[in-house]
Amino acid sequence: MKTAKLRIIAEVLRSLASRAYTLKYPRVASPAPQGFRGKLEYDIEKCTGCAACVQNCPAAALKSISNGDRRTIEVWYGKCIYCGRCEEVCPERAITLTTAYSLVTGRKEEIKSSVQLEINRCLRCGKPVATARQIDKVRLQVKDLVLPEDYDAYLSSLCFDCRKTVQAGLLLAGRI
Amino acid sequence: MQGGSRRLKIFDWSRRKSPWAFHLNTGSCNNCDIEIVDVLTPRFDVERFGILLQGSPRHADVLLVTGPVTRQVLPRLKRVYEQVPKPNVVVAVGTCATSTGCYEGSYNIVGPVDRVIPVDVFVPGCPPRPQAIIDGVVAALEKFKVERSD
Repeated sequence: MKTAKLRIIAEVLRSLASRAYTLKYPRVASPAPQGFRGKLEYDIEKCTGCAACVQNCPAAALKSISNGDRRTIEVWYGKCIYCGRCEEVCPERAITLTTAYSLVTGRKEEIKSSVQLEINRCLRCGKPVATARQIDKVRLQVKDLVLPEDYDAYLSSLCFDCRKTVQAGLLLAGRI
Repeated sequence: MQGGSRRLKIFDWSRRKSPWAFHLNTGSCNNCDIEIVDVLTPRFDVERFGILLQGSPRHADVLLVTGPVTRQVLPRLKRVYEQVPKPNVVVAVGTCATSTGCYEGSYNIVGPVDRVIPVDVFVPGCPPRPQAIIDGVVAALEKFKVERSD
């Protein structure tokens, strides 16, 4: 009995000396812990516009819009569920989920962020092929392969359908 | 009417200083609800701002709505909104209430909350941090700042 009462008195004294448990939030900033998945941000220098993030977004918060000679990859924070799937699949590691969390807004259409990239068009039919950065990256990856002399310059600037047509033509003419 | 204007000013002031909230789940997964309850715990303690959770929408100034609006809850949401005395503010808490999130296109979903009732502040997040919910409610209270000419 005595020890129990002593313990209670000790607890009272301890809590008298300790500070309040409540966060003083709006007055004192309360940053999210490391590893918190918050607002998604693109590294515009690194993004190649491959749209892997768009394909893997479970909530369809990301959109890829090819318009004219520009491709826009757009994220709507009002739809994002902050799962971090895009960060996982991005081959360029261009996406990071920052620790920013307060996206409070009165107009939900405005909380968007986007990255714009240049699109290369097919030299033969004019259809969009891929972004310029993506094509540069693939060229860099296959530079050690032995290719026909005129391949790199012309064929790699065509769309998939035109490339097949042109290659079939070359084959029939006996040039490959 | 000098006295009437002063009385209205006192109403505005008290509404801003002690808004009572009603929490309504319109089909959310319970995650945002847990965060709203979190906001009421001693850790975040929104009673510092005079915010009290009420059991009835008839006593509320702030309506906290979580989740995408399902077909079954649609008439209830409308009825609850009609019961809240005006002027009031509506805070859509969570990604689902903002845009239906990953439930979009589901057969039993009507749409985001702002398709049914006017929403003043959206708090996206899945779930939003309690701090973000505090931000949202504080931002919504700006609507109670009414300019009244004497």
